[in-house]
Amino acid sequence: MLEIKNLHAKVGTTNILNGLSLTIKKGEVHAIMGPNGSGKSTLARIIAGDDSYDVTDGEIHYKNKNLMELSPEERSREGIFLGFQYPVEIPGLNNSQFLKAALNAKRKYLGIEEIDAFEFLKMARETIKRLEIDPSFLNRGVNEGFSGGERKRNEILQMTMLEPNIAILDETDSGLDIDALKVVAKGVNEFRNQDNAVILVTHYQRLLEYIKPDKVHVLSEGRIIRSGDESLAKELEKTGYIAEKESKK
Amino acid sequence: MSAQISLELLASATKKLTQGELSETRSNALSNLRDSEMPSTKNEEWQYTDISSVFALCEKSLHETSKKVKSTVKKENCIAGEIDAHWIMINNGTIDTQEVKKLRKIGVYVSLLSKNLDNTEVIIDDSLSSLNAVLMSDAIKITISSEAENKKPIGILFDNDTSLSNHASNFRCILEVKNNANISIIHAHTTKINAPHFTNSVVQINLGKNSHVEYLKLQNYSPKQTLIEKSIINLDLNASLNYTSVDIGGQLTRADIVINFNDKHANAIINGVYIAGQNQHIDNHISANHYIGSTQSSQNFYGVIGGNGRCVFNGKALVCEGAIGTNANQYNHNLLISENAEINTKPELEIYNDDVKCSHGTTVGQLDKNALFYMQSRGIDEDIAQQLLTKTFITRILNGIKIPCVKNSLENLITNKLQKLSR
Ligand SMILES: Nc1ncnc2c1ncn2[C@@H]1O[C@H](COP(=O)(O)OP(=O)(O)OP(=O)(O)O)[C@@H](O)[C@H]1O
Ligand SMILES: [Mg+2]
Repeated sequence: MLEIKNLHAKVGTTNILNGLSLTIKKGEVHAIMGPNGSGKSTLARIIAGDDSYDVTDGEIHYKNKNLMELSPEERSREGIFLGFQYPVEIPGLNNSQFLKAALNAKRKYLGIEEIDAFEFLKMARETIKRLEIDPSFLNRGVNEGFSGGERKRNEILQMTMLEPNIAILDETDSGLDIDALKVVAKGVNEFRNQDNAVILVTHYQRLLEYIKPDKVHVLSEGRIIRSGDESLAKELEKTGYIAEKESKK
Repeated sequence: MSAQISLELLASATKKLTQGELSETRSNALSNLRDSEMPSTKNEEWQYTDISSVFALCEKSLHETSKKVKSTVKKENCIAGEIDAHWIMINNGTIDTQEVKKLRKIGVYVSLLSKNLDNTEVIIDDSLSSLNAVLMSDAIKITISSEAENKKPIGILFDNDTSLSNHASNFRCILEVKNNANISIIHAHTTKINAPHFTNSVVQINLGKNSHVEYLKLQNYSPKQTLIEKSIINLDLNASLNYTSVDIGGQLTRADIVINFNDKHANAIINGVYIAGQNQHIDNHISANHYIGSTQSSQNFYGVIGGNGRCVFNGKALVCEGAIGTNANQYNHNLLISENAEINTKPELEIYNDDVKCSHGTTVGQLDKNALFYMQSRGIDEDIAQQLLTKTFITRILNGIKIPCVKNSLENLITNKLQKLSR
């Protein structure tokens, strides 16, 4: 579904990604771990279409299309979803207005009739209930005054409503209390199926107890230095990244 | 003397106009013009706004005969048809007598000052207001009695399309709000003409004791038009004003809003939204004059500027000696959505006593790239995302307009304007 080959990217003169390759197939859940500043969010944002990074080499193919030729909005409508590490606050823009605009943009692209206000509200309310989110979320500004945990839940709400084919969740588990973590995990588990894929960027093995990954990768200095299964995450929890890096040398 | 316009032409033009009880005013105004000069960019107050081009239009209009043109504008096909208000349509110095009769029943009295000056002062305090008095077809006085009914707002629409000439028109309106009155006013400048045109407008508003006015000024002129408008507002004891100006059209707009706090506990909110695109220039000059203490003024102007649009904001507060307990704020926030957009912004305070609370601030920013990317990453088109963000930026001001029946029309006008701006 998603194939990244030898990706190089920089900001200004700083190299961030240095030859990163990754293949993700339908139905898979991949976890990406790695030290702070190793390039995890950069990778996630490049997949979503953030043009503040210069991609200097390499390719990304998604559903057999050259992803780099699509705008961020096209990527989204084609089924790519990025759950932001730091979801953006847009004061004054109503959350439900935002969600509805997003939903209708996708529907229009797919040639489906736009959702009407009634149907939308019904769908939003059901999803909110399922994710144990406070109903007042819908009437507030997008992430306006939301706590860290609330913002992350809001990302899961958006993911659930938009039904992407591949969801990249960038540290969606960070800053969540145990109950919220369970809710997020439940959301992801209900979302995953044979036809979609999930990339979990995380620092904690904790999340992976709730969402079982098929593969775990370690990203360091802009490339994947190790890949394995679930047990790799457990090992990292014990040894840390430094030991990991040193043993490689 | 006004270098830009021939006095001889002015003198002969004014003779053709309705004189009646206005004849003395007109001749005083004419002699004022002899000793004064039209504003130019050499003048500090006008340094960013060059109005020299409009005097040619004004001269041109003086050569035209003062033939009366029949109104071509029907209430139904302009903003007056959309907003449910009591509309006073002013065509070439005349007013619809049917409407005047209806208004009388709800305690609102409309008259022409040439017929009855009624001790009204027609202000001629500078060259532009003098020019206005020399050339206005008449002055309209609207009196809101204490008992006036406030079920629907009063709409004032000056119909340029049938003004005295095709090139320039002068509009004068005097709004007298009696003690304890409570009223909503919509003052609209719109037109369908798309030719160069200069409107020189003066609005005098007097708020009586304990009166309250909700006021919306809406300027949506076509792209070749110029509006210069001076509003002089006097507030008496405990009077309160919620004023919002919305400027979205025109080529050149200059608004001077002067608010005089003449007695205690008077307060005014002076809000504004301006949206300027390619080839547009919008200049707002506000002065809040606190002559007496325990008065409050709050200026909040939000601007969105695209293309090569240029805007000016100058918000002043004067707090006189002895005006203790004055509270005066001036804020101006701007969003520049193109590289060539320009804003000159300056809040000014002139304070002659200690016991006051004043604050001011300005910001000039661009659209938040992160927010744009966030929205795009949810499938929203870049230009729609931009429109939603700019709309959000000015929402605070739009929400401050407490005249519910204008909401939809205003919303549509602004959405259309923002669409054009982001293209
Ligand atoms: N827009 C940018 N401008 C400059 N430097 C950047 C930019 N984005 C990322 N970087 C730098 O690139 C490196 C990788 O950042 P990135 O956010 O991808 O790390 P990360 O692996 O997600 O880290 P964390 O675990 O802390 O979230 C960091 O050193 C960061 O400072
Ligand atoms: Mg990160």
